Parts: sequence; structure tokens; C-alpha cells
Amino acid sequence: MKKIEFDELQQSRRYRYGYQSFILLAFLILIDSVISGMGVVWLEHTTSTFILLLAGCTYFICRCIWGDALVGPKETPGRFSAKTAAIVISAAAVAVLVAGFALSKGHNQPSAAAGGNELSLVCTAMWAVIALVYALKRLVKGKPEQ
Amino acid sequence: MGKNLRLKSARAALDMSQKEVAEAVGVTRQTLNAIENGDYNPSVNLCIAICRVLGKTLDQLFWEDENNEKN
Repeated sequence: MKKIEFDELQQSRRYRYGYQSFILLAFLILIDSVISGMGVVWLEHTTSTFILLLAGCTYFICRCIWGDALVGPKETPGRFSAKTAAIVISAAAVAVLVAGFALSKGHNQPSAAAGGNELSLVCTAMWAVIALVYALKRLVKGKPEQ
Repeated sequence: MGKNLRLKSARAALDMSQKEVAEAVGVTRQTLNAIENGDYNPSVNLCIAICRVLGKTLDQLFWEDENNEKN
């Protein structure tokens, strides 16, 4: 597998974003524990923890995209390629399919399966947020791959 | 931190784009842009690499004194 190397600015940004994600995750888990302690169960414990982990990962990826720290200098393509467009469109299509499947199976399911459906929905939302941030970055900060 | 116009002018004198210099140095164009705009303080190793690519000394590009005031 090809090793991705980052330059020093990207590395420092990734360390900062990783630290922020860790703090965010710690606060989210703390809030979840407080809510659970108050007797409010919004999801099964395992499912809610996994969703909070996904939220932390999403924050990290979005910050890296916005801060030009997602891919190293050797990995950055020269221009916006059809391959990149195909990957983004495929990811969006898979997200929509998963969401549709989750919504169609979400009714009349036992609680254990319902947790899986909620996870699917959160994964879809995560992809949607990442795609939105990528599109916003291209719109606001110019084309990053040029 | 002010803009490093000496770096920009040295690059322009060689008729090189930010992307060309960045590729020669081994960083992203955004990193070089941040250095030129004064948004990022590069390490000594990166300063040396930039100086070698542009054919300048560290003093000429990065040293700040009365003669080389930061723009």
C-alpha cells in the first residue's frame, strides 16, 4: 500500500484536528453518560457510543478537508479528474441506497435491528456531511485540485 | 506576521509558479501560499529547501533586520 506523506504544515494541522476530535469525543461521551444517568435512553449504549465515535471521525475528516490536510503533496492530483468525480458520485449513491434500505426496513423491526438501521442512517449522514464540506470547500476556497 | 514579499519576488524572478516551487520543495501549494502570506512559520529545513530551489540564502529570504525588514 502506498504510504501517504504529509508536509509539516499538514502534519501540524492534523495533530491539532486530532486533538480537537478527541476532546469533542470525550465531551460527547460525557454528555451521553450524563443523559443516561438521568434515565433518558436515546439509543442502546453500544449503538450510541458507535454513533459518537462516527461523529468524532466525521469532524476530523471535515476539518482535514477544509484545512487541506487530507492528502499529502504527492497524492494530490494535478487536476479534478474523472476518477475523483466517480468516487464522490459512487459514495453518494451508496449513501442514498443505504439510507433507502434502512428506511424501508426500519418499520416493524425488533429493537436490535432498529439500532443497525440507525447506524446506517448515521453513516449516510456522515457521508453527506463530508461530501457537503468538500463541495463547500471547492466553492469557497477555489478548486483545490488545480 | 506580515507577508513574505521577498520570497514571492524571488519566485517571480525565476518565473516559477507556487505549484512549481511547492513540487520542487516537496510540500503542497497551500503550504507555500501560507508561508508567502505569513500565515505559517516554516521549519529551518523547509526554509533551506526553499532557498536552494530559489537560489537564495536564508538571510535574503527569511532574515529580519533593519536592511531586511519584514514587509
